[in-house]
Amino acid sequence: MSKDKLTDYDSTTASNNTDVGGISVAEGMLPSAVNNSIRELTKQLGAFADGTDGIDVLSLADDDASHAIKLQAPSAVTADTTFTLPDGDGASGQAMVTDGAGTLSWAAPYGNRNLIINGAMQVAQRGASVSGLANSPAYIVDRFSYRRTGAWSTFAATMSQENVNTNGLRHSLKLLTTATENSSDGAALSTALEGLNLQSLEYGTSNAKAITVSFWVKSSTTGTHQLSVQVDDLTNDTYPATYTIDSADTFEHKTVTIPAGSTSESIANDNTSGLDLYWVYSPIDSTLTAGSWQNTNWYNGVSGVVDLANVTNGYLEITGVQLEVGEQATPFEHRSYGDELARCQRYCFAQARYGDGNIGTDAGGGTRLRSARHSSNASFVFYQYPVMMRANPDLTFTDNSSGTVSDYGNAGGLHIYDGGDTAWYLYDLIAEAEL
Amino acid sequence: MSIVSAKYLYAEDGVTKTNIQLNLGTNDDGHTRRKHIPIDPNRDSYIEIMDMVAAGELTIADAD
Repeated sequence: MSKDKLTDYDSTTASNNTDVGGISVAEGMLPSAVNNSIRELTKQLGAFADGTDGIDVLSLADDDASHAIKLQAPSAVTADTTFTLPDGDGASGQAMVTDGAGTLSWAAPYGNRNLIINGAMQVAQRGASVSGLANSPAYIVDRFSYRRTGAWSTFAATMSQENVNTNGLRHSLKLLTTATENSSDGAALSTALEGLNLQSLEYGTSNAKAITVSFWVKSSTTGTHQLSVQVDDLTNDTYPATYTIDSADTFEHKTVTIPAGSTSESIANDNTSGLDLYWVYSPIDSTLTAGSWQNTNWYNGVSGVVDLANVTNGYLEITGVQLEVGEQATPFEHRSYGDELARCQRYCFAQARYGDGNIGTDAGGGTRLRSARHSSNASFVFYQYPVMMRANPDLTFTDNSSGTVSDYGNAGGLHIYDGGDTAWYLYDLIAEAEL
Repeated sequence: MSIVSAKYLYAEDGVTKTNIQLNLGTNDDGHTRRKHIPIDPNRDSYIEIMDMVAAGELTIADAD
């Protein structure tokens, strides 16, 4: 058989290799066959070098050639695949990931890489929808809020948790225009990240890192839409970015990479808001140029972006939101409902959660937090929150107390003292320590 | 949010103001809906209430 490529040769018995590309190199070969066989061999080496022909195993021997690290393809390969390595080493602890098209890069290892809480929109402790949206912020899905600025006149919208079934995601957050207005006011869907959770970005150092935001989005309206990133601790605190909706009423996956905000200014390492994302629904103007950190605000618009507040039945719907350190988007990190609920409870704890059917009602039994008697005329309700909250929360509750109420609570638990009632209870409690 | 009345709540020392208590009305069972907002000038909810006070839309009474 003609030996036309390197893998055709016998690697153990040299005398078996009597042919090079159909040229006999057996004993008594013609002198001209020497030249021709060398030329054939160099052609075969060239084919190996440019990837036209492969080899079975790449063996990287140790110094004394006693052992080797070997790389090889699977026994059956269904389609040619080219992997392109990253340019240089990654940071300590990073792993190599693919973009799905064969380009490899360094990224944070999978697991706990998504800095967004409730990115799958599955936890909604306050209910399923809210209409009117007169006040800002307003919440339905935990950790995501409706924000507005300015003196809106006729604009009205409904925010809701939607049931979807796309790419393993079963819920989304939707903002829907129910009354339009062509105004110079701002509105957005937003989520805020706590400074304590952002120190891996290393802002304020020469190692300050880029972030990559990826999400699924659906809208009534095609065209250019705006995602603003705002870090209040920076002088140039806002990075307006854009993404394009190609098809109306269809979930599309978008990725936006944001360069490091500052190597000289840091994000405070505390429990205040460190970084906010705004999916701009309605910008107040259209004067900005996207793609750089600027001293502006989330509601200042990039030229040409869609204003959904002025679109009849206009809407924006997002889910699968992920923010990770680095310039590479990786697949959405699905977390269990319990994990997400516990993370959300640092910012909101609803005693009778949506789905229990007890919101706003005195259902008795376990929905009541009953007082413990303190003295002949006083009692208190103490309740330790499931997790330490971000801060001493706002409390909203209903009670049957008839006495004077004091609040001695903190971020760890509720402690309400009633100096004039020895037996009372409260229910329908919501504790909120949102950013 | 419809506010019926508002008053301050105090710490155990009886002097330090800790929270603003909002009375949000009474339900059919005669039970009162309340909201407690910690006094924190950086908190959105506190700022919103104090804006209402500044606008003359709300008065916060001392504790009972």
